[in-house]
Amino acid sequence: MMHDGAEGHTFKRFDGQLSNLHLMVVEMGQAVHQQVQDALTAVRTQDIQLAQKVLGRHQDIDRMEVRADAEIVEVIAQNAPLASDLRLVVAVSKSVGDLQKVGEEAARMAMLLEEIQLESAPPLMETLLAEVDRMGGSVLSHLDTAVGLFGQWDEEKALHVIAGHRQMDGDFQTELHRVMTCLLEESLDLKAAVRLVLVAKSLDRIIHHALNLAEYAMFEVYGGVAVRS
Amino acid sequence: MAHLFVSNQPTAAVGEWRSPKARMRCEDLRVRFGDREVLRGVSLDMGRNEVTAVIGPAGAGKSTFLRCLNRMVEANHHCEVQGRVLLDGEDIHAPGVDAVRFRGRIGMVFPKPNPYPKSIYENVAYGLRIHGLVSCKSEESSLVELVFRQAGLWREFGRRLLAPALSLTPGEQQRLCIARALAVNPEVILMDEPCSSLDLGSGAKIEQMIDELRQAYTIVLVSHSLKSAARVSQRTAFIREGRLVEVGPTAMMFTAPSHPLTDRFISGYSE
Ligand SMILES: Nc1ncnc2c1ncn2[C@@H]1O[C@H](COP(=O)(O)OP(=O)(O)O)[C@@H](O)[C@H]1O
Ligand SMILES: [Mg+2]
Repeated sequence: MMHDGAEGHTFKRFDGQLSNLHLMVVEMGQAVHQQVQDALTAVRTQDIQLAQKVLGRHQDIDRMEVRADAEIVEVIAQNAPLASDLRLVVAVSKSVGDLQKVGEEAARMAMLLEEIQLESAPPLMETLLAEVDRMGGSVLSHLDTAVGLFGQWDEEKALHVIAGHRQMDGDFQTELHRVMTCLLEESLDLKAAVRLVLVAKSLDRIIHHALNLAEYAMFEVYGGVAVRS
Repeated sequence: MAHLFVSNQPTAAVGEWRSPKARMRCEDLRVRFGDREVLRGVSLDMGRNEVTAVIGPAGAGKSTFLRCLNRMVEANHHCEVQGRVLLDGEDIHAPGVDAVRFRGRIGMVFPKPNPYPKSIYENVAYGLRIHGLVSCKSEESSLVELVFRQAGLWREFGRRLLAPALSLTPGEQQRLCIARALAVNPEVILMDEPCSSLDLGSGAKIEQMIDELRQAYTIVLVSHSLKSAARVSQRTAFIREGRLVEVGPTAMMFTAPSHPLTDRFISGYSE
C-alpha cells in the first residue's frame, strides 16, 4: 500500500483502530471464557468462594462491553467504514453483544451453585454432575475456538464451531430426559436436579452464542452468513 | 473506426455486466488517445429507471466512458474509439445516425455547473429552440414551465425566470443545468460528478433530484463520492485503469464486493 501525505496517515491510524477492534473481541472473549470456566469449576467442586468471585467479576465484563461499544461508535463516526471494513465493524459489534450474554450465563451458573448442595449426593446425582461437566468442557472448547477466530481466521475451525451446536442440542435433550427419569423414580433431590438442568440450559445457550460468533466471523470474511439448519 | 489495437481478451469483470433492464449497452468499448489506451474493453448495461454509478480512482477513465455514451469523445480528433454503444438496441455509431439529433436523446450534466450567461428562462428555452421543439413564444413559455415542474424546480425558479443564471448559487446553477438537460426530453441522463463542486447541502438536493428523475430516465452517474454513489444508485460499476473490475447491485458492492481491488477501493485505501 502506498501512503501519501495526510491521507496515508489517516488510513494507517484507521487500520490500527480496526485491528484494535478484533483485539477487543479476543480480550473480552478470554475474560468471558475464564468466567464460564470458573463457574463450572465452582459447580463441580462446590466452591462457593469461587462462585462469588465469578459474580464479583461480572461487572468487569459489562464494562468491557460498554468500552467496546464506545470504541465501535467512534470508529464508525470517524471513518464511515465500507466493504470489508464495514463487515468487520458489524461482526465485532455483534460479537461483543453475544459475549456479554455469555458473561451473564456464567454469572447465572455461579448463582445456581448455592442450591446444588451435594454433601450426601446419591450416585445418580454424581452421574448427572459428571455429564454437565463433560458438556461444560465441550462448550469451553467451542467458545475458545470461536473467540480465536477473531485473532486468526480459520475456516475449518469456524465450520467446526458451527457444526458443534447441533451435537450440543442433542446433549441437552439427553440430559433433560435423564433427569426426568430420575425424578420419576424419586431418587433425586428435586431442587438440586432442577438447578443442574438450569446449568445445562445455560451451557446450551452459551454454545449458541459461540455459534453466532463463528457466523459473525464468517460474515466478516465472506460477506455471507452461513446457512443454519 | 480503425482497428489498430485489436485484442480479443475477454473482459473478465466480476459480476454480471448485462442487465435485464438494459436501455443502454456498451460492448468491448476501447478508447485510445494517441498511444494511450484509456478504456481497454468495457462492457456494461445501463438499465432503465435506475441509476448506474460508475466509480473508480482519478484517471481510471470514468469521464471518458461517459463521453463515449453520447459521442462527445469523438469531438477530440486524437481519439480513437472501438467497440459498440447501443441505445435501445440501436448502434449509436451506425451510419445515418445524426450526432446532433442523437445527443438530444442523451442529456449531460458536468462537474461544474455551466449555465449559459443568460436568464434562467433562456437556459431552458435555448435547448427547446435548437431542437425545434417549439413553434411559438407561448408554446415555449409553457414548455419551459413544464420542464421546471418536471424537474421539481418550479417553486424555486418560477418567480425569477428573468434573473441572470450566473446570479444563482452554485447549487442552484447545477439544478438549472439539470433542468436544461431535461428540456430536450432525453431518455438517458449522464452526470459527471454533478456534486463535486457543491457544498454538502446543495449536493444532497441534487441527490434527491437524481433519485426522483430515476422514475423516468436511465441515469449514469460518475461519482467521486462513494457515499453519494451508495445513496443514489441501484447498480455500481467499478472501473480501474480503463477496465471494468466489478459490477453489481449497489448494496452488494458496498458491503460485500467480490474483487479484492473493489474492496480496497471502496474501503478507502489508497492504491
Ligand atoms: N482529451 C484527452 N487527451 C489525452 N488524454 C486524455 C484526454 N482525456 C482524458 N485523457 C486521459 O485519459 C485518462 C482517463 O481520464 P478520465 O476519463 O478523465 O478519467 P476519470 O474521469 O476517471 O478521472 C487519464 O489518464 C487522462 O489523462
Ligand atoms: Mg472525470
